[in-house]
Amino acid sequence: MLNNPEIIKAIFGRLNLDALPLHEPILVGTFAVVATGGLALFAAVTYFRLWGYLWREWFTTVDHKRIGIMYMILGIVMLLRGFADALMMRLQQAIAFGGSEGYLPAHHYDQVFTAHGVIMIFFVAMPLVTGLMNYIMPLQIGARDVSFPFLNNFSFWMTVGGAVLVMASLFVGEFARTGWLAYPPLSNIGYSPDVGVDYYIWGLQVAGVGTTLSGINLICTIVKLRAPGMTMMKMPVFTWTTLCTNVLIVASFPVLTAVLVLLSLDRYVGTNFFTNDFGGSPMMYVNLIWIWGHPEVYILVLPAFGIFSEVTATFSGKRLFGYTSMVYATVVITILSYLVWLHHFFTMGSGASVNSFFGITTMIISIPTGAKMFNWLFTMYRGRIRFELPMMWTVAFMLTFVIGGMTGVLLAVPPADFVLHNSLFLVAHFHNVIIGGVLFGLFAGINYWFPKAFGFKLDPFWGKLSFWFWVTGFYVAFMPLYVLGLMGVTRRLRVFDDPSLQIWFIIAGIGAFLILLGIVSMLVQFAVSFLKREQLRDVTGDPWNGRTLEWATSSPPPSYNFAFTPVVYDNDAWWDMKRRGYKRPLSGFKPIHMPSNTGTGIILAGLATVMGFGLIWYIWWLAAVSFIGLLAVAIGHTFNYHRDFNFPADEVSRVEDTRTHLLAAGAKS
Amino acid sequence: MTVATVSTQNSEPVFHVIDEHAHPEGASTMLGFWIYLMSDCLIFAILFATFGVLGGNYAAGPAPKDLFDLNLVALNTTMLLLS
Repeated sequence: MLNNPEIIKAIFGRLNLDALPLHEPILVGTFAVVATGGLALFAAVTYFRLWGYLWREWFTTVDHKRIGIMYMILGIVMLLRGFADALMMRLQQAIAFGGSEGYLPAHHYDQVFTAHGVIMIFFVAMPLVTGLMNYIMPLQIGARDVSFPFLNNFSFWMTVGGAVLVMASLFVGEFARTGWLAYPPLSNIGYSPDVGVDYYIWGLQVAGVGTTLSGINLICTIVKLRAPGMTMMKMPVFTWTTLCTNVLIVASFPVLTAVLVLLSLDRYVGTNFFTNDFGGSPMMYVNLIWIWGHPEVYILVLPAFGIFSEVTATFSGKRLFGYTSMVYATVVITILSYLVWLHHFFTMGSGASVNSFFGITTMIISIPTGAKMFNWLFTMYRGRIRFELPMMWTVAFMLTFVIGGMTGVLLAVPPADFVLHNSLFLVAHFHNVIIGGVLFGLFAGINYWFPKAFGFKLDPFWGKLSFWFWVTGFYVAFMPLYVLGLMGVTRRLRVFDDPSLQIWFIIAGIGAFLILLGIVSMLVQFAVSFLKREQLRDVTGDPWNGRTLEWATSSPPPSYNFAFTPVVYDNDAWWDMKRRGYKRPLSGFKPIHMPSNTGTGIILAGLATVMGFGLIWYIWWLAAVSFIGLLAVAIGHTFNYHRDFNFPADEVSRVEDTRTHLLAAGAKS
Repeated sequence: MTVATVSTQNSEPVFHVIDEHAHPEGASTMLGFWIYLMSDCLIFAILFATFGVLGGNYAAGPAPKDLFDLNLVALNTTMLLLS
């Protein structure tokens, strides 16, 4: 019976032994390393009997703080994968000269640059940004958790599900070879008949559900759960940028969902939305995906702007300069981000007037961004600046981001863009703003809020090492790309003819190596800080002399965040409380209403991932079964009546007493 | 520094909610549901936009007019909306 190809096909779909890349030594080696590491981790967790703990305390948690930490871990793990892709590209481009084909065959190289883009945006930048928003924002507004704690857990696991699908493509089948936005007609079934684009589609669809729901959740949290007295114009700037970011998420990710649905229809049932013939229009896809894609870059950078605002005010010891203008600048950027998408394809040929309109709206965005830059500078002006790690990242950001912003305005001029479109100048520009803006912001945020999350500071020595490697590495890696772009080198090339270009690629490769040292230093920084945690310990909960409410509670905060909901009278609420002699209440605690943990989120996301896998490989029965499972578990969850419990008052009292003792001991020493 | 801040300075400002009660959950749920509906609306907006752009692209083949009887659909929709 098993010899019948029809039955094999019904059971395994397109999946067969050829899907395993056994003939590719690089992938086999990678698999060996990943498998060994995975087995070691599995063995360690089993040996220390941590599975029960992980499941009860972490995987099923609905605590926004733990979910935030899990998002950060996901982002950092995926950063290693995405950066490995970057190193491979830099090495290939540095050696593929003078008749050499380099070491990556075309079909592998094309997957590498696609995976690099997809992973860095969706599974590095997005989880890191969402993680920080998840952790910090509820604390900043004095809330006990987000509006929908279970949904938060589900959103996280859906993001993981998407990441799992993309990672699976490395060892089972292949990833898309289309570039990170999978433009048709290349991504249509005629030109990409393999599973690569399907991995892309379902990876993003599964993760996209999580992102959208998390956006709704965080908007509701900010709108509904602010502490009494915290009017909109008294919210910390990071909370404001979180609000705007999540508005952008909710208003743009559905577009991505819809356009990927249409692409799936083209690929699965033979419609012609984006084909070249039968009336389809590939440019329709390009328009739609950039209507999502441009807001997406602001989704990433706005939270970073928020982090810089908090860091600059804290480490300058001053109230943020121009709070109101900062808020309005954020809102204006949010709105304008929907009016510029066409600048990604001026060369489509929409005509002079359309191109001028989008060129001008693009340049206008630099005005609110510039206003923000001056606000940060004026906050520092005559401030008592402490150059701790978060502040160092902020200063590096200001210098780097201004360069990236200016090359952006160059690209916004349509005639110039006709020359620079899809060149390495563009690649250098967006790395300049994403690394210099988003990533530096995230590193500032990680160094700034790490003591809040874990109760000890990060080691400054390794942090500074990481800082200098990253910043110099960035400039060495990407300034050559500006030069190459101006000389007309286009992106995504695998081999080169002109030997005079090689030196620039070698320099860029050295830069990538410096960034590697930066990443390694950062990992060492985490390890060293953990080992030296007693020396780096902070018991006050306010190690930086902070200004906003997250510093009012202990580090790490108790599961209920605040024993009593704070009342806010002014911007920089915690600064105001400290200035006016706030005293921590020591008695009169009441039971606190808390959400219960549930495993439904991880089960649903697991089923969704399996369904995605079934659809990718045409294993229809598997997709159907897991879809029915999804419905059953979701309906079953509506009958779960044990969603919350009361955290007993004497337990609150015990936790708060411990903190009182720690504070007293800290004050004495 | 506002005047209000100064005046409350002497009268021992209260920095935490004393009479605490659970958050009114219904309000959050309604808001969340509406935002979710709006995001769903956007998906349909994109589908309509795609129809608007590509809907007229049929070469010599049968046009939607030849295939669908919109009068009946209109009647059905009216009944559905009125029901």
